Amino acid sequence: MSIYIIDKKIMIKATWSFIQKFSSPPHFYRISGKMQPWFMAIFIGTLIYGLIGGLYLAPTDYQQGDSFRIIYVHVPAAWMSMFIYMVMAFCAAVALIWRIKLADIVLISSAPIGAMFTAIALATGSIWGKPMWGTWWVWDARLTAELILLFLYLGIFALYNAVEDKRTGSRFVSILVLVGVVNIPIIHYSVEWWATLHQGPTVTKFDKPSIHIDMLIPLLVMAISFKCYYITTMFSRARTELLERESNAKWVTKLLVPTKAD
Amino acid sequence: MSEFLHMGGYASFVWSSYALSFILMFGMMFLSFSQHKKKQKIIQGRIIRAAQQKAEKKREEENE
Amino acid sequence: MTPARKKRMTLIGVLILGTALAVGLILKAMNENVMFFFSPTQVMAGEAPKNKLFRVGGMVVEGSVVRVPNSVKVQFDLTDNAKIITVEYEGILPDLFREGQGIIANGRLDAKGNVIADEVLAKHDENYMPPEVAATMQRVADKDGSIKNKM
Repeated sequence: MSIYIIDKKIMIKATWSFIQKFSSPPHFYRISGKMQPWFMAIFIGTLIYGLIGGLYLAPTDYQQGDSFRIIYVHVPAAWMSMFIYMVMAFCAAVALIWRIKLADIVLISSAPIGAMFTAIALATGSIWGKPMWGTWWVWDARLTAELILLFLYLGIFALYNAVEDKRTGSRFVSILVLVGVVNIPIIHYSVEWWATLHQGPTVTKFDKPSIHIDMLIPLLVMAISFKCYYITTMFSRARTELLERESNAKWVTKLLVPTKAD
Repeated sequence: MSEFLHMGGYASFVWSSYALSFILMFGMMFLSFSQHKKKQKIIQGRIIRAAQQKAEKKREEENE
Repeated sequence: MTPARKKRMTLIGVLILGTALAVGLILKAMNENVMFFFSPTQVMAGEAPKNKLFRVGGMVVEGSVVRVPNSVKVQFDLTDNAKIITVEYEGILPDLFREGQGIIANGRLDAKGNVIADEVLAKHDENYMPPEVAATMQRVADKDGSIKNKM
């Protein structure tokens, strides 16, 4: 029994020190730099496959003809807009509770990418809506909730840049992110809770997806591709942010000007 | 090939969606990469300048 | 976990629950406004606003579409599989408009109880498949005599 308790204590200590080590700025800077080319390669590879699959190999839709091919950018972008927000909410909680610096950095580096994907989802949805629904835009629950998500992203970015001290700014931003997280389930369930012009979920439901397998595979490949894009780009932004915040740290000197380290 | 580009009459909608998405995505990616490179250079310069100033000060002190 | 961390975690939990509750109550209060359209049953029951634009959504009844020759005027019936309402419209219809398709019409009621629409939008379903598969499914459905609900 006592051995078990000691083991448990050691385990917690070991895990904690591992997390601290991994999330330490120099370590993250080095690892992310090493991993970035790999994610870039997977992004490009899956993108090429997804584009060929979606634009050429996938059959035309029985109702929407070739216009349905917009799905291969619209849906992955919409998924990313919510996925990135959830990553940011997780980072916000970690940053507030455990005061891990890296969480703040990943959060703020993700915001512009999330905003971009939200804008892509809204714009491509609008372009798709015109020929199919007969309108560019309607104020139904799904579209409105997604527009609110865009404003949240822009608000987060504006708030961060409005506060002089980065650490105080990060704290405010974390709270805003957590307040806004309520919007994510609203976006997802809006098409089920209310009568909307936007149709219900195709892939992310408990039943089997109501999309033909030949059409589904390129969609999932594009989703993987966009995730790798996000990691690649976010790493780059996070490394910039790290250099900015830690410009006086010894590891930065050692890294950028190896001869001047001492 | 022209049939592929024609997209069953929805060419303008399909191609504009894809163009818009990838212009934004690659724009964001290259902006992020170039910002990182720029920041590296700036901080590198700052460190070297600080070291030079320090060395100069040291030399002046030695000369006095 | 240290007491300070525990306290912060609780505060975050309260923050999220509090906002969820507030937003939930607001949305519940605004439920009518969040609903994008009324069903034919609701319109027949007088739930739709009078003398004001509202939206009605349903499926276009097979064989009910009447086009006025030499014009873009069209008349069709909408159903939610319970009640049927007639819609009159003058304008260009979306590409997806067809019999059996889910449609949302924006308009007002006239004296006869018909909807005079200013705008007709098509609501498509969440199913994507190649035409051959759709044709096969249609054959199976016809054999069963079941009606596929597209709304």
